[in-house]
Amino acid sequence: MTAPLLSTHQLAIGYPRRTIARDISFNVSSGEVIAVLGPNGCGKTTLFRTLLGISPAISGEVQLNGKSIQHMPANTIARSIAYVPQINGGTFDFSVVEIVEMARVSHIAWHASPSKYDRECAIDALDKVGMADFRDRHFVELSGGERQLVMIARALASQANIILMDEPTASLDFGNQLRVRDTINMLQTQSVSILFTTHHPDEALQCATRTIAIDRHGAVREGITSELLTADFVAQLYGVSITDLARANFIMPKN
Amino acid sequence: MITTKNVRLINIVALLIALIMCVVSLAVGQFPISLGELLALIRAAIFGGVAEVPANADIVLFDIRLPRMLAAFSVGAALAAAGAAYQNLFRNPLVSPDILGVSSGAALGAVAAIFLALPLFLIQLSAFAGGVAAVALIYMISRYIGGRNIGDTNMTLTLVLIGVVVASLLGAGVALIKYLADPYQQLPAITYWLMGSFVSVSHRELAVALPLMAIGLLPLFLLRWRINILSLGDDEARALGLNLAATRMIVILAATLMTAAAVAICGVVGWVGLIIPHAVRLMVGAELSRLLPLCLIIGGTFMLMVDTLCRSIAAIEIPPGVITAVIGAPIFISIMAASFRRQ
Repeated sequence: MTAPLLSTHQLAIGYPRRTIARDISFNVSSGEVIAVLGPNGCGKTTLFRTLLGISPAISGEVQLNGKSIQHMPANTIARSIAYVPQINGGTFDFSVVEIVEMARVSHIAWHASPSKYDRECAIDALDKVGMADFRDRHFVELSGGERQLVMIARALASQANIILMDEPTASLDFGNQLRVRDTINMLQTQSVSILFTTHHPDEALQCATRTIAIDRHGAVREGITSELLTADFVAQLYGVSITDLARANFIMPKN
Repeated sequence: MITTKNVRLINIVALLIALIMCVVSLAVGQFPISLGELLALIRAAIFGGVAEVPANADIVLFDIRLPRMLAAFSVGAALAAAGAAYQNLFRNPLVSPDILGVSSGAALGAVAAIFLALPLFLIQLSAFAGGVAAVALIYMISRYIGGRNIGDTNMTLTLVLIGVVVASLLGAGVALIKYLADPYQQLPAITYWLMGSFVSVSHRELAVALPLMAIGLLPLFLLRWRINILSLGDDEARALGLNLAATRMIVILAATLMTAAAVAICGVVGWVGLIIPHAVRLMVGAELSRLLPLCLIIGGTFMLMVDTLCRSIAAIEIPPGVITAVIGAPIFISIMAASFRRQ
């Protein structure tokens, strides 16, 4: 196992007057896929915002390549951690390749526009997620699944080695969910580390080697997915009974 | 589809139309100057000698129409460019350059100066200072109440809301002064200023206003690609590595400088900063590197056309704000109809 790229130590997240979750400690190594699981409002998105340095940590710290991100400039963080937001419509009429190219902002001088090399990075990234043919299409005219793949391509174009995906499969149809999961697995083979939030324990079991679970009281547990996500634990996490789980066809971990 | 070739073609056509509009605006008016006389005057001005033209034609051309043409063009260009940048910053194609109170502040500044019977130059200075001060006030209040609780992000919405509140407060100040003003001398002057006009523009005002607009344009031009990223929203822009607070502040500063300088020389002229960027975006897409230059050309040409109409369609001068509204409203509705059809 290599040294952690990203780690948190006794991290507490939330707002100045309201701590959402505390005692979060975990390491992310190269090529690792980690699921972040928990009920609505438990702080999954806030955790991502804190890891990205957008929200300050309430206590504890986030370390990127062994250094605290607290005073790190936004572009330094962005060169290592990319963010795939929940699907949104987009306000203005940019082409797909222009949207992807925006990921190059952390590499470009403040007064400059993207170079030929930046354009190539964007096209390569689109190619990796199988969206190269869409480069000149209008982003606002794409379907939800296509937008999600473009957003993942944008994360790749930044050449960050850690990607945070906020509910990458929520609101996608079945086929697109599979496509996004395949993309996650493909990226793992290229040593990209991925953290993704999800509402489905099944998805954590299928894609993630490890899972971070945040319960409704902000208590955090972290471990190997198949060991952590026992039926008892999942039932408790979401406040349902074991029989409810069976009814929902929750796939029990094999152990 | 928008290709580099198409964009170049659109720019060339727009420049040609701009050039034609410049010539028309110099020729047309209560004192018509023919094309031959125009060329003779320009030749005489550059190479020396005397042009055989009607008496006073040179004064009309160089001291009245030329500064007025430059003022109208640069005001239109500045408002359209500031509008384009603000529409990205506020992620809303319906935003105009005065969303952060620059027009309201300038109006209060000018109206107060008229009330105090100050000379024209001080009225303009007061308008400029009022515009800048209003934006500074809105920015500082937003920073103060937002900065503590929500940090860098989410400030955009705070700015808009505080902008509405402060602009309305400044509007109350304008209303109060109008109520107190002398109804025979000052009130018409106030009303006239609030509707906007290019009548009083001379070389002296241009010498001050043009450099201010240019200084405002420079950072917008340098940051043109980064300003695109602001339109993704605060969190996404920050996560991509954009220095959000600095970029936003520079855009606000630059747009305020341009708009305040424009409003100071010609009063409040609405619609240009709203519809021109919107229309140009339909032609060349949202990318600001393509949008900004074309906004300058088309914004300037539009304003020049409006001002030429203002001083030539009737025996009296019509305020440009009236014409921009009469032309702007139908254009805006048809743009909206066109964008609905595209969906």
